[in-house]
Amino acid sequence: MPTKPEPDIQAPRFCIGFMKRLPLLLLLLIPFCQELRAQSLSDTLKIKEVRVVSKHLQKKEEAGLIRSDVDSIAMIKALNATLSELISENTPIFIKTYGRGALATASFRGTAPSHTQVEWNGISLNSPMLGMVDFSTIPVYFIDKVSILHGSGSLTEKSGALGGTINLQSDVDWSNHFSGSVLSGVGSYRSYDEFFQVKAGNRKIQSKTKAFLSQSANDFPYRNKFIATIDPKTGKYIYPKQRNKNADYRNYGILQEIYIRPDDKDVISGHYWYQHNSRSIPQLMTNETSGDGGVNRQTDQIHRAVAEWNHYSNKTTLKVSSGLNFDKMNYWLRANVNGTSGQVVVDSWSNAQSWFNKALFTYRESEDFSATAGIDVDRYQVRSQNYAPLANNYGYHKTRLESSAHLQVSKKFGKRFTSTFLVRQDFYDSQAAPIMPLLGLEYKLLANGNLYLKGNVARNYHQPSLNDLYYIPGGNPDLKPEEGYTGDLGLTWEKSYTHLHLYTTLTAYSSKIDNWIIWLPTNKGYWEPSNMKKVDASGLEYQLSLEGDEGPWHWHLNGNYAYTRSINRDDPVNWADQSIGKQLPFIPKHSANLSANLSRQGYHLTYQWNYYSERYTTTSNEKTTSLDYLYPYFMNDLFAGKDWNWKTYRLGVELKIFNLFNEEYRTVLQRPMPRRNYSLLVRFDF
Amino acid sequence: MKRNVLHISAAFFLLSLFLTGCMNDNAWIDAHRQGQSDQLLSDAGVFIVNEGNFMSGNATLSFYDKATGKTSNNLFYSTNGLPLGDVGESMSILDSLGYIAINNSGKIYVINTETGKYSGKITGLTSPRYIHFVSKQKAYVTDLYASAITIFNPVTFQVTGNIPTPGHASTEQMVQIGHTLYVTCWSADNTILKIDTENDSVTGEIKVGTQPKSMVKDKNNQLWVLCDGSFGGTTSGGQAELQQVNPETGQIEKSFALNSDNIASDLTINAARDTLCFINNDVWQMPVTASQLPAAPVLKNPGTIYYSLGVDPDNSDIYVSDAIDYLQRGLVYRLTAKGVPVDTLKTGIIPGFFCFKQ
Repeated sequence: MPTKPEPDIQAPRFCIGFMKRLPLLLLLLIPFCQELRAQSLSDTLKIKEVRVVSKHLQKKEEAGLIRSDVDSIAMIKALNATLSELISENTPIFIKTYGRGALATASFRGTAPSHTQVEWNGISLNSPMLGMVDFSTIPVYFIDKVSILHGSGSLTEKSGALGGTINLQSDVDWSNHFSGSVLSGVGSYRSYDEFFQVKAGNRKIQSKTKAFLSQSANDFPYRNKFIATIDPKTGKYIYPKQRNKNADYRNYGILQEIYIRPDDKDVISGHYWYQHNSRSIPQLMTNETSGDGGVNRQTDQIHRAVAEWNHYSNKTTLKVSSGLNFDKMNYWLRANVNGTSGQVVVDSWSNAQSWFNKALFTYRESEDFSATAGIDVDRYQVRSQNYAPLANNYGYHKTRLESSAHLQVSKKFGKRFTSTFLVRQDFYDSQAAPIMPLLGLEYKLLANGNLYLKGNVARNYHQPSLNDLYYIPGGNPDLKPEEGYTGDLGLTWEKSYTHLHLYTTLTAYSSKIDNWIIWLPTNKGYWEPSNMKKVDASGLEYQLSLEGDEGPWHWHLNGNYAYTRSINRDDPVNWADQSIGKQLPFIPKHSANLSANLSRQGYHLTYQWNYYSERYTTTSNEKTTSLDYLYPYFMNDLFAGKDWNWKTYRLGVELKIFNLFNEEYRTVLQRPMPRRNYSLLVRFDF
Repeated sequence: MKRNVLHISAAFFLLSLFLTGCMNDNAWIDAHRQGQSDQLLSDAGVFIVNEGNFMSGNATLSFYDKATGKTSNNLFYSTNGLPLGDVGESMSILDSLGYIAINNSGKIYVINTETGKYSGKITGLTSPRYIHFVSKQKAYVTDLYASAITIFNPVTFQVTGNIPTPGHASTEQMVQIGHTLYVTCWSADNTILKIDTENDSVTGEIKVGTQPKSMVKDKNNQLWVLCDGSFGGTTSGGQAELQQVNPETGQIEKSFALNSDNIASDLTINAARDTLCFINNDVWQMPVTASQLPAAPVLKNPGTIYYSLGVDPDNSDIYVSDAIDYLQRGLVYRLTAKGVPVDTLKTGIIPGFFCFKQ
């Protein structure tokens, strides 16, 4: 049988052609900006300053570190979305999603999902069992600010984030008396979103209550091209029209935050977040079992609580916090047993309890010198249990105590040079991990312009998750921690014109990760983890943000591009191993997003575009069959809305169109994605 | 100023024009369908079912021509324009039709073994594992979860009934002696069930070692069963054992303890049915008359993991697969019965089952 070595694909070629044109688009916009500026200078009467807070302040504590904050406009646009959409559309982090409302994991700088840490008010949201975070379960509505520490910068927070850390923060507005907001959405596939918040308080105490409910039948129609009825005479394929069955989800939660400021030196805050997630994961498109076979459900009940005390004095700051993260998870799978449909054949329970304690002391000698010392003591307890219908139950029950001490000194030399040095020492139970140092240097290249050259180097360790070590079956207690060496080199330029604000940053990074943990199948019938790989992850990150005003118009453009080479540098398993020197599976080489926002007197329009280049499904990066790789991903969304203001009230209506061009596509091998779909939002602020 | 507004609007408009849809799923599907060629598959060949990765749906079928040494990979997809499914488990041939059990897709695909072309499918199964033909009109399928063996008609592709196996969720390999079918109950079990093939009912059971998976009958109609020793869930598990069972009395005649640190799997038998072959880290051969395990393996493990094994019922050639890192196309080594290398072929992701065309 002849096999073509290179399949002839027209569509992706067209897309590549298009990609080349993308920079042109950016250029297209720039002349307008310059024109804006020229005109406004000559027309002093109409000057209306662009109110933009500088994105890059040369803080010596962050010298040379790469940090990016998700834009506040992007946060507002994604209020009814999950962190999965916010991150994929506004940052260089790649989110691998298994479908609408389904599991979404991060790959930051070409690393594994467990290499991205997600912190909320000082506690980790990463599952101590899996090590990773499901971004599809975190509502943007509960978060006020998202700050991202790329690569080694994450060491200032915690060890283990070989890709980086996503910090989810809460803000307080001390001038608030009473305000609130109701946001209600209805969308395609019987999707309903309800959000509510009320803030009350004075200059001493503030309370913030938020609640959300997000649910969807999620049963979008699709044509299943992976199964067919083949007409025996004509050989014609009749693809069945199906619905995305068993994909419904219903998540809800409540967040209560209290901030107290007894005097101007202390701030005490308490945060409590309860969330309930329940969803089904649909079967693969090739599945042809009957009845309720293969139906499953995953339910999470999560309690998170944090108490924090900040004490400020002239030269010192003390921050003490303690937090809990309890996640009780159940997963069941049904099959047709003995001819009876829908019998439970897998029933797993897990109860993960994490307790985080943190003390951070900062001493500021002067503008030019500061030192920080911090201690973290975290305790994880996991009870994982599988109930097998006809056999003995099995599972594990383990605890781990992780403690960490770090010391950071930051110094400014002259007016333009800043530096920071950090050492971190971790302990796992009573075992000491190797020392993790971080050095960051930053230099302001222009005396009068905000052009910065940044660089850093660090060593980092990521401990195996408790499932990696103890999961039954498969867990491998002999796993070694993953070890990473990272270096960044970047340029940041920020400039404010009268009607225009420009922020752009380009970073090159390189990291070497040893003992990369990977779960692989065995012929025992289950999977086992091992320290398989040596990975070289390197690449470029580029961010451009432009914002401007012109008369009643306000416009905003934000784009990211990432080039990611995540290469397997291990020794070959044997002579035939073709995976060495190849890109890790499911990590795109190129990824980009662009969001353009235009508003005028309450009307607003947002265009969102998202792109990933092809992703391989094999370690050998073959392209022989359509099962070996996924075509490039292009997604376009359009949002349009209008706000009305009356006294202190505001009413807003917004229509969101997702998958604007009604594309039929997949992002992982056999999971359908929805065609064009809509969401209508009504928002009332008081 | 108005001009700028116009410009901005124009830019937005252009943006939407440029950023058009690009993901042409149809073109993609078509480009990878190589069309139904009128090739003929050799009469002396081996079908290799490549499992693919669980929940990826990338199982494939390969065909190896024993005479020419030519391997046709991705046979099912390229011939039929449809992927095989998720976790290809096993394949059995009845006359000119090949029945491929797709474990996590709940179906059996039927192909013409001369052309590889789709002939039909049996759907609505739970978690099909192995197929056994009782007659030209009756076939059994074992299942990982169903607590039942499904009966189907291999001519009409219709499910005609099932044999409940209460207390045994997982049924695995089947061997028929006379009118009695012996079935290993693998996952978290230690039983061989006896089934009367005339009236499709369980008539008895034999208790063996922990997790009996593969089973063969030798020339003396004695059963040999390989128990992998691991109780599905627990890492501690039990003892991996190779046992000889008298099917008449249910007596365990011989029991050989295998190295439980390594995976024991894939018990097969040669053409003359007098020599066993199995994987226990290395590949071992043992005469059915032996009173102890052999001292040296027929194929030493050079530091890889041998994933599955097949022995040609024609000439006793040994086929051993190596999944490399499980995320790329694996290898199959072909050796003579004496362990002399004959050929090496590259198939699909996780080569897991060999089906010999006779």
